[in-house]
Amino acid sequence: MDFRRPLRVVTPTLEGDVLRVMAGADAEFTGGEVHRLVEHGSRDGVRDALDRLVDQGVVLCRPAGRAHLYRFNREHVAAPWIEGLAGVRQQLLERLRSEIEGWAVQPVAAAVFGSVARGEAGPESDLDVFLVRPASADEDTGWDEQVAALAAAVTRWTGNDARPLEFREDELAAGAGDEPVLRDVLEHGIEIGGSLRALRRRVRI
Amino acid sequence: MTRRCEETIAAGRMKKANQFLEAAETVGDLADDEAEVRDAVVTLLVHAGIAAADVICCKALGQYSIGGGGHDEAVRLLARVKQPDGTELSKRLGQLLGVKTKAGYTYRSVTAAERKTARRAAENLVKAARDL
Repeated sequence: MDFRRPLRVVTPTLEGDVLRVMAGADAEFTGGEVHRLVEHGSRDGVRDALDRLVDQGVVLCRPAGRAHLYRFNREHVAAPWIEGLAGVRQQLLERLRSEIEGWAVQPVAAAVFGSVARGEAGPESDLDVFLVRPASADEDTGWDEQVAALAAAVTRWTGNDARPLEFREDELAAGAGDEPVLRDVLEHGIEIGGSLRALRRRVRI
Repeated sequence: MTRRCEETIAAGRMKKANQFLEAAETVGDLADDEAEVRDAVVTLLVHAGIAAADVICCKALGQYSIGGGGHDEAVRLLARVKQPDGTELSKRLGQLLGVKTKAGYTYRSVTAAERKTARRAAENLVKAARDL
């Protein structure tokens, strides 16, 4: 799955990226504004994609002076599915939170970090998951099994590999926040369990 | 008034949303008496929520409110966002803006209930911005 372009799970064309933008807001956009939010493709390419979506009725178009304004048609029978696909990133994060919430041994902190958290991930990107293992989680507590199960689940849910990065609680002394990976987690990490805030306070220099 | 938003603006506003929320929590934790710092905490929560709303609008609409159109403008703009749920989040932003003047500019102090509402509102907005 391409975390930045979720509709690529069903279409590799520019129309998918345009639909992600259009479904994300109840607003009218010019072709240029859509092009800027899509962040790739040519301006003409985006406009052609918009016109093809207008033909399908899923995008509405009205003239405004010399420009055209486009709006997502939420009454279209296909609209709920497009909206669902446009929001898969948030759905994935909620699914991760829900999975971790059900763990018998709770992490001190858990976060998605790396390229996915920074919004730079592509279709081949791994999902980096940062976990702080509590001091009480010995080998026989089931901690390792629940981490492995989460990694396997991520692959089933997305097609991407999950890359768990685990720290033990006792590795996180004051000053550890200088470590580059931890700095990335603390700056850009998306909390999916435990408390990043508590972690931040613990490793503060 | 709204302004066109570039990626650097969204990233900078996200950093500030995190910073204000973190500072609000730290100030609250360090105080012996929570009521003594309540206005400062709520003011930081308001700023966290406003910055988070800017991030959400930047990413979904390509523009954000820069003031001049009253508080309603930022709330109305956020309500146009559908991913995440702008209707719900705009209510949270409205709650924060509703307590902004009392916390920051008047002689009266916000209540414990207002602080609780502000905290929940700011946390919801910052979480939605981070998840985008």
